[in-house]
Amino acid sequence: MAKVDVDHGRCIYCAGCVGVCPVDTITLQGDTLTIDSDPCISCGLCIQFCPVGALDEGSEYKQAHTAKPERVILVD
Amino acid sequence: MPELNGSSDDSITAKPLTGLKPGTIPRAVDCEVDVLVVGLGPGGLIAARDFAKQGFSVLGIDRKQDIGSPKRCAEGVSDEGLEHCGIDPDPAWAYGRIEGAALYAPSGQRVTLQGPDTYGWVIERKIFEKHLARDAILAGAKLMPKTQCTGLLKDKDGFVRGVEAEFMGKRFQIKAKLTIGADGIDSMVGKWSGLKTLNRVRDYHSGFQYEMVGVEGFGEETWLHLYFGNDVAPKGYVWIFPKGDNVANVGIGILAKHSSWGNRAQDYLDRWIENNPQYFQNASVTELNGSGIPVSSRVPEPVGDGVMLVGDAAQLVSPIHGGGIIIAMRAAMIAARVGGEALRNGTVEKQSLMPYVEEYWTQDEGAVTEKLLRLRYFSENLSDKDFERLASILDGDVVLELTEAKFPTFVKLMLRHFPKMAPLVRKYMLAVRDMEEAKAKAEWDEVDELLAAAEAELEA
Repeated sequence: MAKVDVDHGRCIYCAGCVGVCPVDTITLQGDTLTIDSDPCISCGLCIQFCPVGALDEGSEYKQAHTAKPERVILVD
Repeated sequence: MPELNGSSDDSITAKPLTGLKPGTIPRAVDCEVDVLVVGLGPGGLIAARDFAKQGFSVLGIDRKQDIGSPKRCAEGVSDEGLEHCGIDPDPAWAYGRIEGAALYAPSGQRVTLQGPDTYGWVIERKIFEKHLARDAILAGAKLMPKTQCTGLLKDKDGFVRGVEAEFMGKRFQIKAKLTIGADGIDSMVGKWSGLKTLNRVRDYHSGFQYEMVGVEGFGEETWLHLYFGNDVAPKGYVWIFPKGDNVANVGIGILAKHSSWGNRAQDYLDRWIENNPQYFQNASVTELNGSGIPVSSRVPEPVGDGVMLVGDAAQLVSPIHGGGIIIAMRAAMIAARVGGEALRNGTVEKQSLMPYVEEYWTQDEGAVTEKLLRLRYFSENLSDKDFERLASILDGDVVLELTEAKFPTFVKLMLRHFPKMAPLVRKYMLAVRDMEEAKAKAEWDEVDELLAAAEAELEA
């Protein structure tokens, strides 16, 4: 389960995604990009930025964006 | 967020780097220096050089094991910029001589720029940075490649006091009186220092490039070639920068806001290359790179107590062409001068570092940047048809004026030929008037008249 899937085969280690992450959850060390799902807020900016399409919505991301509101109160 | 307590002197083994013998190999040992530079691109290396020249002990670290590689740009620099930074062009890295530029509208119609203001080089950046590193080392700085910054040292007063770093798997602390964050678009020094360095997708270009051999037929080989159009590169452009000997840097920057699945920077560039076989049928690729380009052009306050940011870390990039090598180096020179003064005065609090920001924004590149930002917003609202219209009336001299943030000639020309541009002019360009000196303001008065006439015509 991840919010953002990294296609390590596509990643070119440019670090541009690190520069748009508002919660500082992406790290690039050497040739390894890691995205910590815990602080990730599924904003999708890194996915949108990536020049080579190496980032994609993970299962948890989709869940976050399709989840129904917890409380829906119907009234007349 | 790693925020380490580095205030206690006995927590590290104090070993001033200046005490080490010249030629010492990099080692992961705790040390203390006057100035620590994090990130060894053009900005960081010039900062290291200029601080070292003033006699300070300087350590520069970079997470890459090979300074200069991978490059993240189109590699264009101007003669004027190099001269300002005290760098003599060297055939070892100054590859493609540039004496002009051509800007292409989608139909292929072009505007050409020539003359001394366009003179420059397409450089081999990897070797260029090695030479800057040499200059820094010969000035007295020590450099450590393959050294990742893993945390920030702050003292009890909140002053940045260096970083925790990792070299070859071993962590150590580098204490510094002053820390320079030259660590690029993803600046950790900036983020951990609490400076507002976050890039927003509306002010951030997604860049991708190939180095290619055998690109041909694109025209003058001593010119930069820039291709515009919303299908070519939304809110950006494709470039061919010739490096000589049949080598070219071919790349693209698009506004990240307009990047989407199947329409990434790479997708746009690949499509453009496929659509232009006349240039590429005999070409192939030797290298590919990508990058984020911070075209907002400013971090509001790129200084804090004990810390200064330069280059991409401070988002110092031309908002209009996206170039940042010269700008980073110019800013680094000011930072070194102001930081050096602060160190000699014994205080590195934010206030004593602010003259760096003031000087850059009033006397250096920054003075035109605010205006160029307006031009960027304006140009982002142009349709392909508008590009064609403009290409039909502009000449190179007017475009050169634009790059220097002198707009009235351009605006007047545009309003005379295409009154339909009036709303865009009013929305995006008029604010520049308030930033002008008295003399230039007078020129804007004529714009006012033309604008009113154009608007009246539109209403009718």
